[in-house]
Amino acid sequence: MNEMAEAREKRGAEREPLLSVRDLSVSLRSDEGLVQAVRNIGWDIYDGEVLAIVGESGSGKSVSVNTLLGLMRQDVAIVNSGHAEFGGRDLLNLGERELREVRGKDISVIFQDPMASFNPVKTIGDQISEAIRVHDERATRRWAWSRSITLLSMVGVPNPELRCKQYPHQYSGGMRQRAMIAMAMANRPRLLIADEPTTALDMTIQAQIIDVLRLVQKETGGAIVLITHDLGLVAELADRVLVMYAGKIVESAGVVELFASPRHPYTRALLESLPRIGDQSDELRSISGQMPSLVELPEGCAFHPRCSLSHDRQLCRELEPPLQETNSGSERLSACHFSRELDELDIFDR
Amino acid sequence: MNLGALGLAPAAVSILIIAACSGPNDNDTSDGGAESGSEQTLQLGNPDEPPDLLPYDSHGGKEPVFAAILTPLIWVDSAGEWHSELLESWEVSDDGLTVTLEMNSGLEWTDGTAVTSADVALTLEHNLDPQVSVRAGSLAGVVGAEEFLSGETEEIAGLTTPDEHTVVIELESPSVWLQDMARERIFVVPEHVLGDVPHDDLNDHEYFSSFPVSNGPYKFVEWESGQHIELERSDQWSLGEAGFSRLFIKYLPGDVANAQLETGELHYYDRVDPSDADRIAEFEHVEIQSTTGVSQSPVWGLMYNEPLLDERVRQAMAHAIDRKGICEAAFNGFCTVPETNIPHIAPEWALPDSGITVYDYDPERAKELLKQADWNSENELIFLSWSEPGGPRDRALEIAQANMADVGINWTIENVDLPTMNERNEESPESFHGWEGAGGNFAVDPNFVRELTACDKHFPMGANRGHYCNEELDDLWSAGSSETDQEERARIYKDAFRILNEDVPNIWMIIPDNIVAHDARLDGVNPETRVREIGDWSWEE
Amino acid sequence: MLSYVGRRLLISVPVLFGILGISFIFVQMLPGDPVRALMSPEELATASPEYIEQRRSELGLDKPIFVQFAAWIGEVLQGNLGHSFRRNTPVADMIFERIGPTAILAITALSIALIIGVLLGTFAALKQNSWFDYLSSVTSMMAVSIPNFFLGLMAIYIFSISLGIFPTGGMRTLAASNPSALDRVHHLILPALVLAINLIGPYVRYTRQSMLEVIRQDYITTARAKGVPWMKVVFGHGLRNALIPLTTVIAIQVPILLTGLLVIETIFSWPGLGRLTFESIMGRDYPVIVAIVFISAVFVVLFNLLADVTAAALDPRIRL
Repeated sequence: MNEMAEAREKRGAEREPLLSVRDLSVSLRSDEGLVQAVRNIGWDIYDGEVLAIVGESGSGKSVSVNTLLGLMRQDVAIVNSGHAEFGGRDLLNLGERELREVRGKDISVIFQDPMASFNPVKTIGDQISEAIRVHDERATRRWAWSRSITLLSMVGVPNPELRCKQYPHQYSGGMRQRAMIAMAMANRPRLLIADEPTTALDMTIQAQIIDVLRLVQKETGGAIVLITHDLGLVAELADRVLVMYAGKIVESAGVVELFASPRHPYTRALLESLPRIGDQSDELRSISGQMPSLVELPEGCAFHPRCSLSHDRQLCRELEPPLQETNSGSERLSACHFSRELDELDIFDR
Repeated sequence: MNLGALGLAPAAVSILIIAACSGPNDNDTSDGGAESGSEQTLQLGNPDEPPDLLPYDSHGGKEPVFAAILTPLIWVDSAGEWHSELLESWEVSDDGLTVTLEMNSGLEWTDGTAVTSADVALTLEHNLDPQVSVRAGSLAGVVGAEEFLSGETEEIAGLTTPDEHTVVIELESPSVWLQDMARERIFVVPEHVLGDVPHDDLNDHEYFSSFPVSNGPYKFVEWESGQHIELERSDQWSLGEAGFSRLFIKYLPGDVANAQLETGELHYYDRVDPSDADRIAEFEHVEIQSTTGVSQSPVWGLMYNEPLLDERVRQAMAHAIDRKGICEAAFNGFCTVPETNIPHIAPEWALPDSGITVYDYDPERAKELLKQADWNSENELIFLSWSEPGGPRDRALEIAQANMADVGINWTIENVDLPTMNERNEESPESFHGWEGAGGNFAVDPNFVRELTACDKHFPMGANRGHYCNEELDDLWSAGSSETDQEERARIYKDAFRILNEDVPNIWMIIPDNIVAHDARLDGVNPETRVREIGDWSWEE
Repeated sequence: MLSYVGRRLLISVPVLFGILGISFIFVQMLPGDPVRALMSPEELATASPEYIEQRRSELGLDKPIFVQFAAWIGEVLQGNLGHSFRRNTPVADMIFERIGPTAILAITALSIALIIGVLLGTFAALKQNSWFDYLSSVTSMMAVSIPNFFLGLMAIYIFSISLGIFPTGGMRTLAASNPSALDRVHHLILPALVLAINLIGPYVRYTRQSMLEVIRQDYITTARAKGVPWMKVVFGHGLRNALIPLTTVIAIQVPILLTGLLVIETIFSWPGLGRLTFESIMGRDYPVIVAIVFISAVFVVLFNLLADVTAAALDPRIRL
């Protein structure tokens, strides 16, 4: 299945996508059995674009990206199918050596927990230098070190000469994430994957990190894949949004349209769960029910047991809806049999 | 930090240490030289490294060293024959009060000084002093010795040297002093080096750490503690020419000795475990020789306490133990069985040949004797053993234990070490009923058995560990040691040994053979004398 | 760091003195008299009681125990650790003579065990649940369980006798008058290997466990995401983190190393402290036994300190 191919053709190939993922399926081994973590998804990202992939934890958003760089544990993750075209090569078909050249050079990753993501026994300067030297044989230790200082100052780390010599535990959380971003941009990657970049940080620091990410994008001119469950961050940064649920993309839209009028009941539920200004209730709304087990998926639409729209309709129970245009010729895609009903049910008071 | 360096650094360091230790001039691989050198080198093995090289005790590890660098006054072989390179004759006067030693001439110290009667007298003087020598007790009885030791006199009145070749010893009473002396294998020390040294300083004297002057076939070179003692040929040896330019006495445990015999790193070893003898005999280039031994080992020693006071119980034990079986099973047949329980603890002339009981293996007889003695088979007896676990002595004791259990005598064997056994023996002799004993060479004179059996020789005053006591026997010991008529002596001792045969104070289980393993090319090795004639050894032509 | 080391050493002083006192008392409690322990059964049979008393008083054994203790502490403070009963020399000299060979053997064995143990443990972790993993677990378990005297004799049998590759014992070839460094290394290999084998097991086990945890860490993924080759990730990022808990294991194992030396030195005729210990216990040479207990305690204290310092050197989060 290739749900987006048609849509893409319709949109017209005025420019080549930077990365084009097709038909990606990944299973994970677990104690309960094989988990269908990612099921036949596909997406494109273009230069200069910020693409957000949104979903609850376990929806497959991180797996779908980490798989592309071969960062999943080989004894756990099985790539069942898929292509990922990047710069004329299929990332999923590259050998370890070729893939290594892509990692950290063309595509960099910013991880969620900057504390755990830095090696505690090496200085920040060493770790940034390593990122530089591993892709540039001519780079001397000294040169890499001075470049590390520059990078740290670019992301707003004060006193970078000293900070380079310090260990991760001597940094605050926000500073560590800045250092992580500095390390990710060390080789001016064309694509930056930011995996929950602000989750571990408190609100004020989050805002600063968002500013740094904006800055970085301006600086490198590359694209960013933003993996998050934080719709606030999506609204701040993203150009386009993919919503994932149970290993599938259930909705794809520009960020403005998505927030204005979701075309999938799951997206709508996500938006509803956002705390809103003026809301008197202290209760945090959440989506009722749980995501189904990815070992034994329900028949039909994976979301139907939690769906407010399905009303236990036979179609939802029996047939998994394809990702398709909501209106003919529209760039918006949704995987819901009854996405049109959402027009009528405009529950947003916006 | 570089991780490779982290792991490798210590190894590199230790290699450097080794390199540093080995000195600057050894870049050559030394193989060629070593080969030709090894032909001239003899390597002996010994399990016991001596604590020092003082010649005033008979530590087993010292024997090969002294045999190579010094000369004993006199020595007795297992057949009771006396030998001496130093003495031409040794005589006791008819009244038994004067011993005269006449020396050979011609033997010289390495510095050219002749070995004279002065050397012998000084050696005896040292050995008469209990502060210096362990032998003082058995050599006691020389006229004037006590006065000398207490500081009253400058010299021992009864120890004189009428001329360079003669030593005269006067005794307080007729005794077997000469036999005692011969049995001790005393090595002579140089008077011109040690003559002026106060006895208190002898222990620390540097002579005994480097032996700058010696008179044996070899000279002392160096003692590498924990490793070996190195000797080299002495060109001044007046009795012949030593067969090897260098000689190493290596201190190593038995298993390693066996391995080194096989690889050719060792040329001689005389503590062969009988159970290894057959295997060693199959090694290429290694020869095994054996001869009947003189020492009893193990001895099943008994405490002269209840419930062992009834001699019928002790006789029953002697009958219960299958000594021939033990000889085969534990000693691989390399042994002799003293079935009358007395041979090998005295020279042949002193042993009775009639009217004695043969304690052959006879469990029925044992049971009968126990019945007569009203033996209670509920008795629990404790035996103290100090032999090496798994060794032949240990195996022998276990079989004997099982043999006796079969007739209703129940022993528990407690494994202790020798010092522990000595302490128990001294402080709580009632806490056990049997002990492992090992005898020495008793073939010189029957009087030595007195040490093991007399009422006034109870441990620790003597070697009578079992506190056995028989006054009739004591009277015979006294009579025998002062009797100068040989036939009368023999008659007295025969009576004594009849009593011992009847009383069974201890059970002499086995007399192990001397087993010697040596390089087949080695000429002159005699299991009878072991290292004593080491100066005559050489590679076969 | 220096002040920490200084403080730790200062704290160790009373501990070591306590050990000295306790070991003195324990050694005194050993059954058996040092004078008789030195004599053969044959000599015991003929030695006069005066001789034994004389020897006892020469060694000071006839004095009350606290007088002996005071006299001995006096000797310790003079730095000669008392006088040996068996050999008429200061204990310090005897120990000094033997400590070099022991150090060479121990350091070599420890290095071999560490290098092999860490490598095996690392690869076992990387290939978790593979045949290599199982094989290394089983063999290292077996290596721990085989008594080292047996291992030593087997090694002699196989490598010295059957194959003739290594000498059976000693520190150098006796026939060669000027043994080369190579000859010494040649003599060192077999005992060091046998000693190492008993130590490898725990190193493999702890390295494997530690490494398994480490390679699941996020910073390992980070390093891979930077494009660092896998083996460089493992050894450059993983190993150093995995080694931190291992420092403690090494320190804890020092007593095992010391007891191993006792056996191996005896089997391989290695003239070190282990053999001296064995001989001294058999001969009831109290001053030497106490001194060796003391030296061992010093070693244990030093190794623990070294472990802490190494851990601090490996892990900047630990401050001393």
